[in-house]
Amino acid sequence: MARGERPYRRLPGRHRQLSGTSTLWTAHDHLLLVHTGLGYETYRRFHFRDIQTIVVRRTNDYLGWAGVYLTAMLFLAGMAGGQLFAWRRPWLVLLGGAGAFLLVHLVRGPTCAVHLTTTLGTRKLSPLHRLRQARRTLDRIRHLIEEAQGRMPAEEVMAQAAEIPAPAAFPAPSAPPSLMPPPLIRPGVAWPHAALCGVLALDAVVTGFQIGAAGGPIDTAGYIVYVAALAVALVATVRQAHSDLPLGLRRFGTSALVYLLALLVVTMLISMVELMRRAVAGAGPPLVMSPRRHGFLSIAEIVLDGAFTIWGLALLLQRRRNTEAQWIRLGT
Amino acid sequence: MTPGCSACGAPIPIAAVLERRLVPCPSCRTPVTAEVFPAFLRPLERGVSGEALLADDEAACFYHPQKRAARPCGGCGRFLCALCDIEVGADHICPACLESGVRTGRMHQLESQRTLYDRIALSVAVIPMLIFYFTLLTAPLAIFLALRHWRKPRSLVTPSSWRLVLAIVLGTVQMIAWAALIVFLVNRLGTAS
Repeated sequence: MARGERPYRRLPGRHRQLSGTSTLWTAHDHLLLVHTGLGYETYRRFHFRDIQTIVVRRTNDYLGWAGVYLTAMLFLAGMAGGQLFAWRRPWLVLLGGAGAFLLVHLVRGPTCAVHLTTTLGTRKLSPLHRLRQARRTLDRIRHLIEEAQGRMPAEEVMAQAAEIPAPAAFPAPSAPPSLMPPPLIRPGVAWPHAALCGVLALDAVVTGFQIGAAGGPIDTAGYIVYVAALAVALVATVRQAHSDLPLGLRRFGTSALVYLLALLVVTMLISMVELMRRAVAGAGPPLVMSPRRHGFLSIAEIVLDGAFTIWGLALLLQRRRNTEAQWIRLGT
Repeated sequence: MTPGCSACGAPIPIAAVLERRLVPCPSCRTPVTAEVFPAFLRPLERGVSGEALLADDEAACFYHPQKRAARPCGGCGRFLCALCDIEVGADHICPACLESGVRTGRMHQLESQRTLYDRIALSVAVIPMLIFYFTLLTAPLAIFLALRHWRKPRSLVTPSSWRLVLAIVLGTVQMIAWAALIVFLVNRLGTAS
């Protein structure tokens, strides 16, 4: 290979998720599925000579996401047209954004799921989730696979395959073979969940103070406590993965993280509307959103913080009781 | 033998394979198509054991002296029997070279995960800018990370160094900004007193 020449070429398609992005690349003899996280990359190689089949299946996500965008647009149109908010332009901007998302979604075309099978098993190629991308990618790798395996018309392959006994060909639908090794179960630790309960309780208290007496120091404290809660929820969610923690505690960790992220999104949305409103009115932007102005959000936050704290504490106590009971059983 | 639908496992209609168009699956009615390649006909390869050594003048396997050598290792040059011969891409290597290659990260073909220090350094430089107080600590950390891991392998697919450079630039700018702020505050306090 010449110096500076890259061994991998990017294929169409990209799959974004919370944990990172998946992309597909080709080398001269294999296909590379790359998952890129915040500070790491994982690789999975499919050598062209081993690829047996590529199955493309149309999915209903196309209609589903179109429905989600339409619902969002209807909601924003209702907010823009309602009398609740005197000033409508921010909602119209958001409505335009949702419309743009819908347009892009429609233009990108129908969705699909692509599964690649080798002798060892079947793997979903998550970056290929649009039919158009899947077709373009197949057009690009087909000749590479044929170069590696030899060219044989599909008719001939199917004719020869018809003579091979069936049982070896069909994996059980309920448990398709996968190249992924089974996840290792590690002993779970509950201290992040306990810490999460504590920080959520603290957040409820600080938010209560914010309603009573908003000001610079108390607002900053609320901000810091929120960031701490988000960090602890992230740690809890990461540490509980593939652990033997009870399902309830794991659900608590994930739900708390989703709640805190949703809170962030709602706060940002309201702040954005507020900022635009003040910008148009000619007033300076507020440094911190005043909780007095959005008392309903603060009250909801206190209630939810409290509910999450009680839920988490109940689960932690239950786990402790179960562990002690287990020790007593072992002792007798 | 026909490829199965990825949703329900039922055999995909022949027309979907031959004409490369979406055809409803006979079982779940989901539109599906498949590409079939000659490897579909290839049975699972069975492992082979080394052949026994018949004469004294034949080369023997380094690890199994009673077995006939099939080929030399591409890494260390030792003779290997068919059992010890491991095919990795176009190379044939011995188990010891495979193990050391995986351990030291020299065999890129077997690498399944890589830590991207350039992304970590850039994240440390960028994300704390949302809460700018933290940049007092994270700016030097980002510069340290970028310089400390400058020679470490980067992404396998996009091995450029722009993230490291950007992390150093951003870290430096943040540190200069902090220095300017501190100097300004000290001067102001001095003037006030």
